[in-house]
Amino acid sequence: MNRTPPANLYLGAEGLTSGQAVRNARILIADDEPLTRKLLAGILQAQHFTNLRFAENGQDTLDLMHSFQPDLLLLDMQMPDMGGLEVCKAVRLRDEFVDVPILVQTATVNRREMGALFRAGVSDYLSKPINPAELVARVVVHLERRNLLRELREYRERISLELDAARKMQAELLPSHATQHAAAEAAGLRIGSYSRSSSEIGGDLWGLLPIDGGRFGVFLADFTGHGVTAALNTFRLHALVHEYKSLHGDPAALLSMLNERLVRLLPPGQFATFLYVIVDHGAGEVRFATAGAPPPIMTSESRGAVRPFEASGVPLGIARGVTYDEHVHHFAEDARLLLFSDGLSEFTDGTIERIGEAGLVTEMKVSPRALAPHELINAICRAAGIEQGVAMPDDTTIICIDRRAACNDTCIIKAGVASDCSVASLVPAQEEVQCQRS
Amino acid sequence: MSAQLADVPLFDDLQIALLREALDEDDLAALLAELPQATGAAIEAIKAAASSADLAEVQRAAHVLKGSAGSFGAARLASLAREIELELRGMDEVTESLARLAAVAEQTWAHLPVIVGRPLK
Amino acid sequence: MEFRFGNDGVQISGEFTFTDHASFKSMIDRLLLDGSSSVTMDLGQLQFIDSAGLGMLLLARDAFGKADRKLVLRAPSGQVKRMFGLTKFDTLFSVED
Repeated sequence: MNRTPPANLYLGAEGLTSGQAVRNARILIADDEPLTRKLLAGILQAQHFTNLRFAENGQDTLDLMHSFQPDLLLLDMQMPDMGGLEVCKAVRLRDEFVDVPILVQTATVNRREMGALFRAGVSDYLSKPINPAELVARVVVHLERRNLLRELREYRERISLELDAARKMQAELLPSHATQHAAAEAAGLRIGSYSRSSSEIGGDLWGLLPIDGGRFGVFLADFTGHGVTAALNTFRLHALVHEYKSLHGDPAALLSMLNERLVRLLPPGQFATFLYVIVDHGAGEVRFATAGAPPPIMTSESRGAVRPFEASGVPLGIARGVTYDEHVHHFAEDARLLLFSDGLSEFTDGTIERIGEAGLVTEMKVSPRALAPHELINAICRAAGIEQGVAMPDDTTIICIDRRAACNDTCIIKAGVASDCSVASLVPAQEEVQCQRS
Repeated sequence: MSAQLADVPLFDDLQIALLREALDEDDLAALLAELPQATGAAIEAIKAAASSADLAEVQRAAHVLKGSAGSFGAARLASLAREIELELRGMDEVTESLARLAAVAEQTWAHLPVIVGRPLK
Repeated sequence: MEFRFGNDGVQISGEFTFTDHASFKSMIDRLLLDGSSSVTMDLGQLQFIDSAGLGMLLLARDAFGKADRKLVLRAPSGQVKRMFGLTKFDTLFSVED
C-alpha cells in the first residue's frame, strides 16, 4: 500500500526547544458540526498534537474551558446556542483566560465584523474552507507566544520572590528594634529612623556601633545607583564595617580603611558616600568624618539654631590613599541631629522642586519643637513630597538622634505602621526607640 | 444561477490536494466516507427548517453545510449552500433550491470513491 | 541633560542624572575621537548633578586618562559646585573657575 506520512506543515516548530511544549498543549475544539471537529482534530493529530477535547455548543465550550483549562481554543463562530462573539466575551471575562489564544474559524471577510471579533478578544482567525497548513501554523504561533509569555511571567515571579527574600536579608542588616533600643537607652536619648529603597532592594545602609559606656557610632552609607548591584555592595560594606571594630572609635581612620578596601572592590565610576558619627553623650559631643555624604543637620533648642555641619571628603572607593578629617561638635542636652541620604534632599517626582539641604534646614526651623524624632522625620518627608505610596526615585535613609528629654527610664519601642500613632503610620518602614517619661 | 453553478467543479482539486498533504491516507478516506452522512444531515436540517418556514434556520443550516462541504473540497455543494445561506430572497425559492441541493449532493457522494481512489467503506 | 560641542570641548546644561548614562557615554566617545590633547567640559549651565552623574564624570576621567588626554571641568556653579566641594571632586579633577 502506498503510505506517505503527512508532511510536516510547520517546519519551524521542530527546530524550537519549545516544540515539545507546544505539541503537549491542551487544545479545545469547539464546533457544532461533528465532521468538522474530526477534520480539525485529524489535521492537528497528524502534527502530533494529541491533547485535544471537543465542545459541541457554546455552553459546552465554557464548561470545558473550566474543566479542561485549554492552552488554546479553536472556536466556530456559529454554534446553535451562542454566537462566537458571545462565547469569546464570556471566556475573556475570566482572569485565568485573559491570555488563552482564541482562534476563530470564519468564512466572513466583512471588515467591520473583523473589528468586532478582535474587540471581543479573538486572537486570530482561520479562513474557511479549512486550510490545514494555515491552521497548524497559526496554532503553533499562538502557542509559542503563549509559552513565551508564561515563561516570562514565571521568570518575573521567581525574580520578584528572590528580590523579596534579598530585601528581607538586607532589612536584617539594619539596626533592629533591640539594637536601637539598647543604644538609645544606654545614651539616654531618642532615636528615630526611616529607610526606604527605590525598588525591592537598595544601595543605602546605616548602622549603630556600640563602643563603650553608652558611646556609640552611627554610620550612613549610600552606594551609587540602586537595585541589585548597589544592594550587594551594602552587604560587602556591612561586613567590612564590622571587620574593623577596633576603628569604631576613630572616624577618620575607619573611613580611610574602608576606602582602601572599597577601591579594590568597586569598578570605576562606582563609589559610596559615607558618614560616620560617634555620639558621646558623656562628653556632650559628636565626633565625625564624612566621605562626600550630605552634611548632617543639628538643632539647638536653647539657641534656636539649626545648622548643617559643613565637612567634605572624597567618597569611598574612588582613589587610594585618601585621608579624612575628624570634626568635633558640641552635642548638648538640648540638641538634635539629623542624618540623611541624598534620596531625601534630592527627592522629586518630576513635578515638584527638590527640597535641597537649605529646604531641610528651613523645615527643621519651622517644625514644632515638641516633635518626637519619628514625628520630625514624618514632617520632613511630607515637606520633601515623600508620601506613602509615592514612587521613590532613589533609596532614602533618615536618622534622627534627639538628646532632649534625656532620661534613664524604661524605653518603649514604636514601630512604623504597626504603631498606634497615626502620624507614624504615614511613613512606612520607620522605627523609633523612645525613652518613656515616668 | 444554474448556469453559474455548472461552472463550479464538483470537487476543488487544490483543497483535496491540501488535505492529502495534511492527513494520513486512511484517515482522509475515513473522513470522506462520513461526508454523505454529514452533508445529508445538514440537508435534512434545511428541509426541516423550510417546512416550518423558518428562513433564519434555513440559512443557519445552509451555513453548516457550506462549511463542511467546502472544507472537504465538495466545491459545487458548498457553492449551492452558500447561495441558500446568503442569496435566498424568500421561502418561495427554497423548494427549488432543495431539489437542486439533493441532485448536487447525489453527484458529490457518487464521485467520492474516485476522490478516495477506492470504494468507500 | 543637553550638550553642545564647541571649539575646545563641550558645554553641558540642564540636569545630569542616572538617566543620562547613554547620551553622556556617546558624548565622551565623540570627544575621545577628536584629536586635541585637552578637552574642556563647561559646566557653567549645569544646574544639578546627582551621584550617578558624579560617577559618570569619574568614568570620563578614567577614559581620558587611558587615552593620555586631559579633561578640564570648567565653572561649576550652584548645586554642582556644592557637590564638588562636599565630595572633594575638585581634588580628583582639574577644575577651572
